This record gives sequence, structure tokens and C-alpha cells, in this order.
Amino acid sequence: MGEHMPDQEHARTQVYQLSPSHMEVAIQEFLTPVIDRLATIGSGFTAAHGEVKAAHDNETPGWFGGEGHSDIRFAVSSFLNEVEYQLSELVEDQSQLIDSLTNYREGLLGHIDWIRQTEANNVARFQAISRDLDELRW
Amino acid sequence: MALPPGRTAIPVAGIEADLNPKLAQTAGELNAWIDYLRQPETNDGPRVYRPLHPETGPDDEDFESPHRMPPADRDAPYEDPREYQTLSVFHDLGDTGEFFKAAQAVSGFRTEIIETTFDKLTKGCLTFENPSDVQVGNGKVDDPPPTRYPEMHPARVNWVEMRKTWESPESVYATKYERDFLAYQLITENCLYVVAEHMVRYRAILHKAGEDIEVLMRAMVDMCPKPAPPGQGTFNLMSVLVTGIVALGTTVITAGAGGVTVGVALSVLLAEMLGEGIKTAERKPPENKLVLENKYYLADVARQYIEGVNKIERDASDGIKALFDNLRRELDGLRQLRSHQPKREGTSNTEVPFFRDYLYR
Repeated sequence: MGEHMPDQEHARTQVYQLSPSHMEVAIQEFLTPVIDRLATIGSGFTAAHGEVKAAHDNETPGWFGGEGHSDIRFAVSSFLNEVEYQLSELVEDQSQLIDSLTNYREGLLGHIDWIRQTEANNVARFQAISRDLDELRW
Repeated sequence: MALPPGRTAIPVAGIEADLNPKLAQTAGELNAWIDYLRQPETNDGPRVYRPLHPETGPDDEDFESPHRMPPADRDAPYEDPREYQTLSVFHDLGDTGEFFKAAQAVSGFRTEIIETTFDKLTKGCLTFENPSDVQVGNGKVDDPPPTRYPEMHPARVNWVEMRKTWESPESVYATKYERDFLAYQLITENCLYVVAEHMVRYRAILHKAGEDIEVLMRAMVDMCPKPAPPGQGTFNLMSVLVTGIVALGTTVITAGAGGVTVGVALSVLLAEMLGEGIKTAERKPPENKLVLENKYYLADVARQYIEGVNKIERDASDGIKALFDNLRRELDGLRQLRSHQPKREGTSNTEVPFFRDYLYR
């Protein structure tokens, strides 16, 4: 989460505006459902990859036909090997995409926390100043 | 006449009736004919008569008869210097297993098994439209990349709404990240659909090859009784070349009821691809002529049949090999669209975008 937080140098020089409650609700409404959906379809892709790999490795009947002159079996084996390879790449991509978006959400929530903390610190500081002023007035 | 007189079909191993009912039936009939024709002594059907003393008579070559000719039978009580040996019409054909090898090679594929995997690949996120995914706001957003299966999900607009109260440099970087993330996800989903499309073509090639083999096999069965004089009754049929199926289009997801996107069943796509799909294809697949000539010797018809079905088997094999290359080429083309540049001064790459790579210049 920390990697998305404004570092001290930037935090000192840049002005932030953020409505924490708005963004928090919006994340819940618009970002989390997408992450959840990606996780669901990602599981399906992973399962599909496993099925193709098993079909290729075991020459599973149904995916493979009879012997014939063997040409088709060789061709099917090569084709399924390629499908397996491509799916393994795409499954990995999809997994990283889910990680990326989850990471992004954590980053946004980190900003919300940071803003809230900053606001709380400011409030505390103002209250302290206010108390000091009150004491001076006495 | 589908079966020889008094015979029943003889099932052929590896051609299962539950998977390929038509092919299994025709193969059973052809097997019965082969068994019948190889034992002319047990029936009155087609046979070859070979002159044993060609030097003594006018006949010096084998001749084929569609039925028994008692005067020519060697064992008939007939005094004639011309004696004939009765042979099977397939006496010089060698291994009769060759009649069925091509059919066995395209048999045994189960659509329902392949379909369970196919179904998992046709479930997307950004490419799916669902009424429950409500779009809010009308923020200006970049257009998604032009993919065959377009972006239907409102995330691109909704995420602008999500960040609308956030004013900071990080929000600008977030805009760039979201744009690249959504493009990457959209293209990844399209890649998976391309794999699914190739599964349809894979199944279609094997299915079509099975249909064509059955057609030739049926023609062979019909010629076994030698119903017409040589030269007449030649079988001719134009069919789509199975290798042409590699280029046929198919659409694996579609708009379902109530505006919900759904994956289309493999079996439905298969029927479409081999029916209307072929008729309406942008690029018409080349045609292939299935021929079986009614020759003088049934063995020559059989040789032509075996050559024909073996060619279909080879074509199917070539088609599947072409699918392999086609799949890789299409996916490589799509992957190139995933190139993005997280930082203005940085380099482009095709890795999955992460927000951390967009922060600060």
C-alpha cells in the first residue's frame, strides 16, 4: 500500500483534494465488482488450461480420435500443445491483471487513509493551536 | 440395397454409434459387404472369374460378374476346357482394414467434452454487457482499442466517476493506468475468444471430414452389389474442402436475452459453421469434389474409395496443422496491440500494466 502513497517530497509540494467517503463508496460500487468478476473468469481460464493440458498429456479420448494413419493424432497433439501453451500465457496475464487491479484498489484506499490521517492531524493541530490561544487569552 | 442378402451389419471397432451414428451405420454395412464379397463361395454375389487355361480359350483375363455364373464355376458339373477359378472381387486388395482407417481417425471426438472447456473460455468481463452493470456519469474517456469483441462494460466511465473528487498528480497517473489496464484486459479477453474460435474450427474440421468420409463410404456401399454397368452410376458430390474451415469466421459470444452477453455453445457454433456459416462466409472456402467412379473391377472402385477417404484424412490433418499456425499468428497480432508507455519519457512495453509504474515522472 505504501508504494502508492505520496512520498514526503511530493506530499509537501502538492495539493490534494479528495472526498474519502465518495471514493470509498465508488470503489465498492465500481472497482471491486470488476475485480471480483475478473477473479471468477480467471478461475475458469485456469481450469480450462488444466483441462487442455491433461487432454494433451494423456491423449484423452474425446479430444483425440482413433489411430487411423496417425496423421490426425499428431496434428491434434501439436494443436493442443499450442493451445495449452497459449492458455498458460493468457492465464498468467489474467492472474497479473487481477493482481494489478487489486493493487490499484489498495493504492486508492491508501490515499483515502492518508487523506483521513492528514485531516485528522490537521484537526488535532488546529485544536492544539486553539487550546494554546485560549490559554493565552486567560 | 444397404446390406448384402441375408447379412447384418458388422460393427467396426473405433467407430462408435453413440458418437458418429451415421458413419457407424455405413461402416457396419460396408464391413458386411467386405465380409460377403471376400467369401464368394458362400453366396451368389459379385465375384471374379479367372481363366485357368487362358491359352485354350478366348478369355485370357479375369472377368468380374455381378453374380454367380454356374457354367463358369469350377466345381459345376460342366465339361468345358475353359475352367475358371472363382475369386473374391477384393482378392488382390491387401489389408481391408484400409477401408476404415480414415473413418477411425476422425471418430471418437466428443463435442460435449471439448465444450466444457470451451465454455470456460467464453466468459469475459469487459466484453460482456449486463443490465446490472450501470454506467454513471458522462465523463470524457479514451476510446477502447478496436477489437473484434468490443468493450461493453461501463468500467471506463464509472472509474472516472470514482475518481472525480480526487485532484492530485496521482489522479492523472491513475487516468493513464486505467486506460492501459482496460485496453490490456480487453485484448486478453479477445485473445481467449480467439483460442475458443480455434476450438470450434478444430471440431468442425474433424466433423466435416467425418461427414465427407461417410458420403464416400455410402457411395462405396451402394456400388458393392454392382448395380449398374461400368461407366454408369458414377458418384459425384461437391463439398467444402476441410482445410478451408481454418479461415471460416465464427462468433463465440453474443447478446442474449435481456441485454445479457452470453457465450454461445460449441455445438451451436459447429452447426452454424458447417451450415449457414459456409453459405454466408465472407471468404468462401474452396470446394473439393468427392468422386467414386463405377469401374469394371470393384477392387478398382475400392482403391479409388480408399484413396479418396485417405485424402480427406490428410486434408483434416493439414487443416489442424494450419489451425496451429493461424492461432499463433492471430494471437501475436492481438498482443502487439497491448503495447503501452507508462511514463511519458519512458519506454513502451507489453507487460501487464501496474499503477506503481505510472507514478511520478
